[in-house]
Amino acid sequence: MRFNITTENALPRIFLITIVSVITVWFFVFSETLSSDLEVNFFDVGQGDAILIKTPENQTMLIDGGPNSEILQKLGEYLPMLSKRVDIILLTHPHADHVAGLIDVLKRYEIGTVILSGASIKTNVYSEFLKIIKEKNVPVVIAEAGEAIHFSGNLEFDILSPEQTEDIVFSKNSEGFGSGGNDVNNTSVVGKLMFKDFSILLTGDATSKIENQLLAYGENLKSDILKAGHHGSKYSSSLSFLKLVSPKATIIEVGAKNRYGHPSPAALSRLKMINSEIFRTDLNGDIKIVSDGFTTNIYKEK
Amino acid sequence: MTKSKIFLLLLINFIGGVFLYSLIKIPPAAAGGIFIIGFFILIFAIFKKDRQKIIFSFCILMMAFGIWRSHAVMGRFPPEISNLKNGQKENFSGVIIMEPDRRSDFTQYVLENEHLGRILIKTSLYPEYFYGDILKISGNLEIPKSRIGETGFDYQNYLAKDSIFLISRNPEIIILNRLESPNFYAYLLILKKNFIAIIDKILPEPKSSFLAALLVGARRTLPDSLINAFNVTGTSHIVAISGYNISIISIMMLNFLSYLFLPRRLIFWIVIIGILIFTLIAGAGASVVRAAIMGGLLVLAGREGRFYRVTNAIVFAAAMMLFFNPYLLRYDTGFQLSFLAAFGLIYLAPYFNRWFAKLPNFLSFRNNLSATLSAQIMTIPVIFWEFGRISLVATLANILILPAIPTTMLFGFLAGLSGFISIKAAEILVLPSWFLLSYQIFIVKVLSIFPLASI
Repeated sequence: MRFNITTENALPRIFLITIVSVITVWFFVFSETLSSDLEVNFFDVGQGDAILIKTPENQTMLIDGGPNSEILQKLGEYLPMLSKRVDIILLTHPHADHVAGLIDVLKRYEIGTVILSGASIKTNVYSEFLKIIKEKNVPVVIAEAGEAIHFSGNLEFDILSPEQTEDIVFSKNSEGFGSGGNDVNNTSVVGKLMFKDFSILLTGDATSKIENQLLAYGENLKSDILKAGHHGSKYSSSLSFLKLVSPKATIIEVGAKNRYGHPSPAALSRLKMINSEIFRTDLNGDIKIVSDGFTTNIYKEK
Repeated sequence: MTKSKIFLLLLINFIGGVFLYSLIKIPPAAAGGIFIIGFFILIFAIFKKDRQKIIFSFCILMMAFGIWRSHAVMGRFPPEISNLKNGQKENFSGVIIMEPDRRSDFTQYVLENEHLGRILIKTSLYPEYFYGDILKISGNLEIPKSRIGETGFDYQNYLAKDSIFLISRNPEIIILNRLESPNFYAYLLILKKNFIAIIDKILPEPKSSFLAALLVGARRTLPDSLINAFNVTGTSHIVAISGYNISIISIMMLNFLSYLFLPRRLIFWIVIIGILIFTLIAGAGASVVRAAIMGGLLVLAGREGRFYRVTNAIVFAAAMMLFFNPYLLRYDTGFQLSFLAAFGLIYLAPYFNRWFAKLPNFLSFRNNLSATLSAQIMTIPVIFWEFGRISLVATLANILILPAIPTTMLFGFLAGLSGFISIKAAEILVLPSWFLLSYQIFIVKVLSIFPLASI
């Protein structure tokens, strides 16, 4: 082989290749479709919570990030192509199975605001999370009952719990299961997302102690869909609470073969008692809820 | 017999000695015996002035030398270890001497202690420690176990290849000291980390991990589903930095640039500089440097237009690498793949090129086809041994994917560099890579769900 041909021939070829690739790339970038539906995705990230909300106006809110970096794969799959922004990150409470994945999200994505419950816990993971928020200068808002996020005229997220939690600092021993763990769980941010006629109640890891306090909201608690508290543990989803919420469907975010035995048979049987259809991320994979405000569809991966 | 052939023969005998020792642990006495036999034949041959026999005796001496060198390295354990009980609790301090290996839910550090040698520390992701940190450890020490029967994975020797003989899982860690000003290597690692952080910012997963794996060999964060798809389609080599990877990609770059009719000398320098930058950004670890040497030699051969001329250089490189680390021959898959692929590219590719002479060479399609086929045929035995399967769609997958890789790497690399100045600019520059990565992932995923994709 000899290569004596001059560069005159090279230029048209380089030019052609560049043009073709640019056109294809732009085609893909602009082929994004817009929808007027609300989308709530419950991700299967193992034993932990991670919920992505996409509004009709393409705002995004991520509630918790699961126990590891799996959430990055999910965001890559579910956010619009090439999007590297999440408008709101809401951390319900600082346990590792909710916060660990958010560290990677914070590092890689542009974040509008971080919403936290006021409670803090002295673990390496949570310190790292706070450190990165500080480094990246992300605005922080402390969630308190009575506040609300208004996405648009007919879409809002009302915060129902916790009452004042600022300045509560838990020790390292409050990580995980046990009574200490439940104290942290009870600082969970509980919120209700309302879009026209559709509503969904997200309870973090709150136990029945908080559920009983929430009973005070009465009829306002009623929701079409409930995310069961604390991965379906027996300390959450009390019968009186479930009866008042009376969800048509309940989502349980739980890892396959987790060592805590979640979801507990007790919680599952209470859910059966109120005739709520149960979706579990360990059995169904990612669960996607799409609503136009009146009709709602639930899609499961498996 | 020409001088270069004799040289080659001697090198091969040295490698043969290393190979023998890695199969059956020949005691040093036997090596001494072989040496003495060789020595006597040598004296006898010199006396007889028989040139053939002189060469033969030197071959035997080289083999004995290979065995002796293997024994000197592979028979060596830090003396303190033999006094240790497995699972014993120890307090010690040490320096992090390798790049921390961060996985999706744990981190591995390699610590060096003056008495215990190198210790692998497995711990949680946070807080992060860095190269050069001095840590105080208190925890259990165990000797790595090989489960040859169950999984066929020889963990003990796998770690021994990097001179690691002890593991500590989830010990208590206190940081004693951190490097105040980074030395050259620490600086390279910081550069690599920042480079990956930029890629992570401009691309969503799994494309960011894929591109980082292509560019700097950081494959730890690739999702299992994708790694599995790579394995099934016989394309996992593209995300594992090895001479195999560097060689194939260098050859692809050569082919592609030649296709554009750029001058040959310019092509040569572009590729060599590419390999150099690649090595530095990948953190210049031992395996990467070895890979770069292999890739560089092949490119050199490509410039000459005669691949077979570099056989001696390649075998010499292999012998030198084995002299420093005899473990490589049996326990480093990357090393094996590198050399087999190189010989495939040197000896088989010309035949394939002749057979495929009638095929079109659009975007250097024909040359890439013969390059991948020849590298693959040579590496089949090792891949089968290591992964226990042969991919039936490998050739198809590689032909569809490999031509896209140099362009993907080029734009990914430019984007990563521009990211140090402006993330927005990087986001635009990475678009061609993004598109090609999507295409490659699509191909791999589609081919991997074929029934009988691999057996």
